Amino acid sequence: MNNLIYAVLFALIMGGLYAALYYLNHKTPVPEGCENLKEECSGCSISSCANHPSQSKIEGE
Amino acid sequence: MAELFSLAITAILINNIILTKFFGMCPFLGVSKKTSSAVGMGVAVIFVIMGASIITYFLYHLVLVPLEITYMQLITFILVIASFVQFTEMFIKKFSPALYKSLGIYLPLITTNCAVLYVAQDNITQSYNFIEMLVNSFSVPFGFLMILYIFSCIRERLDLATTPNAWKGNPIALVTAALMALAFSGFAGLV
Amino acid sequence: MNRKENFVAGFVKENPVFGLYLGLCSALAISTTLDNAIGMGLCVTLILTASNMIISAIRKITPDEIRIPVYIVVIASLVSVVEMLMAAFMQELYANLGVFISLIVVNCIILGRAEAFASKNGILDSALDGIGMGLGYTFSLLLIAFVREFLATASWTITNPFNNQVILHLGLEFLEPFKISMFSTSTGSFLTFACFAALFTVLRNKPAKKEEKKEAK
Repeated sequence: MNNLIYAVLFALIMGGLYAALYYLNHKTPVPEGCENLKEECSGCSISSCANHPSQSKIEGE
Repeated sequence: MAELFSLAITAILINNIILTKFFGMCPFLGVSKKTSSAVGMGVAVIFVIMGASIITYFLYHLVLVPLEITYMQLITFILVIASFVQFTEMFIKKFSPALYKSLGIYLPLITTNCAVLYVAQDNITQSYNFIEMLVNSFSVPFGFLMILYIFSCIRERLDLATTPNAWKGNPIALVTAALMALAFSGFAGLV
Repeated sequence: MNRKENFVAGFVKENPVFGLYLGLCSALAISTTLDNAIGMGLCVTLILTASNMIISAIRKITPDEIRIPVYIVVIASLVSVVEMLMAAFMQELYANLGVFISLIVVNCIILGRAEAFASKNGILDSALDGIGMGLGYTFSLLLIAFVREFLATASWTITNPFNNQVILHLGLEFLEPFKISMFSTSTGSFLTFACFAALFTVLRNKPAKKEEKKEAK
């Protein structure tokens, strides 16, 4: 029973870490001269990639 | 030493990750249109696989096994890979804008690259020791980079050739991949 | 677009494998036999439907900034559950599919549908979309496996994954000397896939051409 608690705790820590890093990464400004890297990506239909047009919701804020 | 060498040759040539195992097919078709982007993607994949494999290897042996929660392997590994990619992206955004300019665009694509998860899991299932793990997690993505580069060179020429309408783009690229797989199956008896 | 159109679109027009080139890794590797294709296809359909429903149910309470991490955690948990269930009840199939079950986590179709459809639509619509897309994926796997298994072994076999009994065996014995073993390797996989991809390009462009002609007249 004990290791079930460990498992849940561990998953929460990992998930929290990922969410925090994801959030921080998207708050970090893109360096100069790289602003239009995303437009140069011709797209490859992988919609889970952050360069894909369907992901631009966050940047729009 | 000889064992490590044969491990590397097997990973690069004989069991090439794209041509015999099909992992990383999505970027293989998506990014191989230009030679420069193929190399960028390949280098980014080598870096992420090396980093993620080392972290997951230690996490598995130092945390999951002692706590007897090895059934959390899949969730742990995918979260480590995803976090590692986010961290790397943030790090090079801050400290090396030049590197970000050349590699930044490929990093988000790697989170959902099956190759990374496959190498991390393979290191555990094959029960490699630390050195073998390092060699394996370098040679597998190196094979990926090599094939991606060769393939993008072929594809740049292919764009100039006349192809029937239905075969334009990805279908003819897949036929090329089939021929490459046939050629690479000749390495089968090497080690 | 109404529900029925949404459901059918997954087969030809928006076929995830041949049309959008998603989930190629598993589609190419698993399609050696019909058994593997059915097992993998149904597995993906199940996970896709469940993940679509869960993500659609929590879409209003998911913070927008960290949607992708939430989706990945949901999908990874579902895949772990399915993997353990398969290891317990379908050992043979589990051994054949091997590492590809856990690689469903990074299958682009699932995260792609979560992002493009489930995060914007209701639970019922998302479930239908999941089933439609999943069956479209299964259908593509079956097509490739159908050709590959026949060319490589000159027969088709379907077994029950729970107890390994052969349900259907259809073999053409006079073709036995002419079978091409290359089709069970990766070369045959790429080649078969390329032919189907070209065929689907033709099928998709056909209606468009008709409309063009009408307009020209």
